[in-house]
Amino acid sequence: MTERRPFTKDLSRKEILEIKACTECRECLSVCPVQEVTDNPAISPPERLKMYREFINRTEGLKALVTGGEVDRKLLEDFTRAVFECTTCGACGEICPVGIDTQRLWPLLRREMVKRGIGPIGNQRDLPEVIRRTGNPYDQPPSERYSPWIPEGIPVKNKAEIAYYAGCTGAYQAQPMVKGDLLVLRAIGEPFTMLGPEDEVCCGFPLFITGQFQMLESLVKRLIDAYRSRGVGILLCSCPCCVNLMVRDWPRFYGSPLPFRIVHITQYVADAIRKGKLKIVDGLDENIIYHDPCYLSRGVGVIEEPREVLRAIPGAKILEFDRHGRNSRCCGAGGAARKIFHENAIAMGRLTIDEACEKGADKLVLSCPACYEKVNEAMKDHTGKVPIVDIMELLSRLI
Amino acid sequence: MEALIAYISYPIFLVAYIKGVQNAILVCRASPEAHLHPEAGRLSIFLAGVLDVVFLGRLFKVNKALWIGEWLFHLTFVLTLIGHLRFILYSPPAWMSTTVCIGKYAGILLPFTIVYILFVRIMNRERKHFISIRNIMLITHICFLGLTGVLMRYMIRPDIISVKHFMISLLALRPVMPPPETLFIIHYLLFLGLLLYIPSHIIGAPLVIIAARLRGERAKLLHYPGRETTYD
Repeated sequence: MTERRPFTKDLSRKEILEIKACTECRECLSVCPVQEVTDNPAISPPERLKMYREFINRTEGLKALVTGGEVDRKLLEDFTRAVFECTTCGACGEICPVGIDTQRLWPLLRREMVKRGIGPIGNQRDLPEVIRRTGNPYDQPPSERYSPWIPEGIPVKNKAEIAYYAGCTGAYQAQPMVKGDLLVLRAIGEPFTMLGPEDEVCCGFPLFITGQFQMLESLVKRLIDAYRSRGVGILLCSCPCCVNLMVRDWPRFYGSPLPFRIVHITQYVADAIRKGKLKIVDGLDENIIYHDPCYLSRGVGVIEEPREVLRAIPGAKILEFDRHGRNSRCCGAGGAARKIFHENAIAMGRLTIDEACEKGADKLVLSCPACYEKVNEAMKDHTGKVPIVDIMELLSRLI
Repeated sequence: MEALIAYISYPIFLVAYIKGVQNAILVCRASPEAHLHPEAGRLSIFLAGVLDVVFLGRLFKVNKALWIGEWLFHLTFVLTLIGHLRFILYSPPAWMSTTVCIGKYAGILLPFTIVYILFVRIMNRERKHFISIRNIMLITHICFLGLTGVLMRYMIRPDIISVKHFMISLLALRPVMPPPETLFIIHYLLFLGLLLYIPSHIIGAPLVIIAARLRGERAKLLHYPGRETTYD
């Protein structure tokens, strides 16, 4: 079977230039987490871009005169597997001497493969239907979105300036994390609102990251209109993936600027600590190491605020991974690859755990529900052991 | 043989031209990147991006040993290229005598920068796949191009008048026979090969480097309390 659709059809000028701009210097191989655990340069970022350039050349370049504008299905399948094995952590783009925005580019190349009916892979294909039916990517009942974890006595208002979005991964897979969020918000004391469990649906990130854009517009409009009706001015969220999509892509799918601001919970809490609205009562005489989530640090540049929160804990000594901040190493949870390429994800998670152990950390602090889920899973049956805690979960124990 | 060389030039020029035009069409007909935040479009940020291009600033941050080699390579390559303009201009302007002089030294340095880059790439990494075969071929190609140029300059000098006559006749679409010196023929064939092999990043990379600088500024916009969170 062959394909004739232009490979540049849905790409912007910048994205086409980026595909053409790779110098194949391979600097990115030294930081690519998939390379770290597979050592397979055939699926590395420069190889993926080279394959895609070849597709463009064969269909729209001089080579089209020879190939008849066709690309073999096998090549497309190889590319699809390579691009879906990526965790989309963006470390390659961060180190790239040219500065190719890979964290943005990979989902768009995935979208092209989806449009050709080749991607996504495995049960990623079920995501649109599952989200349409349940409002979340985990096929869980919407009625149980909050019930197992939401603490007693949390004063959730019907309307408020501030709204809190828990996110599907937090609500269904990393409940100590979102529980910690609410306990900290209660301690700060400013009124906040939440959508009902049936109304707080997926932000669209799993669809975006797997290149399945069809439902995004309706999901985004539904959420934004719901928050708008509650008079929201600030939307708080602790999931870096949600925050990333909300900040960067929601306005595009909504068709206009958002009627509220998106704020990551660590930004809000750091500000509350600064203003004296939140007091940390108990100290922690431990070494804690903070892992920067890729979509928070590289994605939206929130690096300092989580550290500011941790530094406010009396007695806590903050350690750093060798690669931290914008250069942090992916824990393996990203890019919706963790369910399909499970072994890769576990191996990456263990690299994070091992380094935390080597650094002498008493606690590994995370601030992403996907990291939380995967690193916990990676520690099962692993020799390296370090207690894992979410940043708000930790804080909620000390206030 | 000499006549053949004159006439194979045209198809190669044509292929290189078509490739360039096709790339330009691909980019121009695509939709523009939407909604850059006005803050990110400031002239100062754009100029910082231009400096990133001129000094390969991003590579400097990543790999300093490689940076010095790559920067010198790109600089000497451009200077050598400018120095060669005298061969295709019927009456070169007076200022070009300076570029010829600089180009002479740049031409000598060029092969050394390539050897250095290869050395850093191969020796400085544990894993052998840290350099692609394509890049090895490309820079080896340019290295031989440079070496034949240096040899012609200092050892086996061809008749410069004939060289210039040949080049101008090619551009005037009335090709004459090239100088018969083997070294010149090799040098010219390597140049034709480079035209075919010219990597697509030559045009794309500078623009992407500038865009990366703008992106870096946009990433600073998610501050709380602070400015509007308008990435788009």
